[in-house]
Amino acid sequence: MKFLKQTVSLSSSINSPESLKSLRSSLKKKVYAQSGEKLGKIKDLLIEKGVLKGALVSTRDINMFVDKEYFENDSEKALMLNMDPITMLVGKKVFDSDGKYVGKVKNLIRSNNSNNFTSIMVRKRMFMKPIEIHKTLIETSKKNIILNRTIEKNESRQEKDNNI
Amino acid sequence: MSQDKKKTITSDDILGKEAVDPEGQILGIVIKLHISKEEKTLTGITIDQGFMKPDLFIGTDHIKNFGIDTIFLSSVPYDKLKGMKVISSDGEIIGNVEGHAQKSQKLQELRIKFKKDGLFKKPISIKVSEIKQIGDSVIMKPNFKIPEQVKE
Repeated sequence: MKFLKQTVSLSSSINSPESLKSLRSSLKKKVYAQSGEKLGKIKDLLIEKGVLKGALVSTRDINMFVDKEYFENDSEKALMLNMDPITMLVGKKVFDSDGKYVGKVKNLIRSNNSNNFTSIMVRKRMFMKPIEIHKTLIETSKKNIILNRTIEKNESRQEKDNNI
Repeated sequence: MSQDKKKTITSDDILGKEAVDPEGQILGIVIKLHISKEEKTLTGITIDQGFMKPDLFIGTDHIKNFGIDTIFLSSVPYDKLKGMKVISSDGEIIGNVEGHAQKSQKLQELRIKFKKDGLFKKPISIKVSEIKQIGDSVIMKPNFKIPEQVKE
């Protein structure tokens, strides 16, 4: 961290404040998920009792608080996370094991605030009621989601019956 | 001539469908079927990857199943890595993927065009062991050092 004017240190423990990291320099830094996808930029850094707790990341759709436990590497260029946020699943297409298009992920069911979920809510078309798919049915969830079994017609039909 | 409808599909069931790799990535739309003249069997499909991207041929060995709405592939076509950004462990964009080398369907190397002073240099082959993660981008391991030839 560089200071333009002369800086006088008033501290019994820190002799050269230039060696400390500036929080301001972290703002607007790019944030990458573990997969290398660019999530957004750091909007703010949040502290509690003087200790950094995490970062508020501004993505295209939402603001996301990322606990520092998910920080892999915080360099001058970017903040790298050690996981792929579950929010990345929203909007992804879902296919069953028979290659049938089930729908898109509309939202996630979570039991707590950690980077984990219990189910995804998937909707095929607008105005159709979403169906809930448990996490254990997911085979792959990288670019899109592939399930490990077929989704029967009656499970999809439930959407139509509920709409009548 | 009777056909077992459950075991037989037609070109209508394949053409125009999306081809999906094991990572769930939609590679494109199936636009052609390739049939062996002598053996009269399907040998592969051609996928239209979209604007400005070359068509991709997939042999039947790499097709997992012909699904209801999609064609599932059994292996990841590494051609899709071409053009992907390469990022250092610090989050700096250091280049682009130019090509790859594989052996028995296993990725061995990536040919990367590194960036220096805003310009892309001649591609250099980098072993997969130096790569931390390949997802939306290629992320290099923390101990990776840009080759000397690039710095010249």
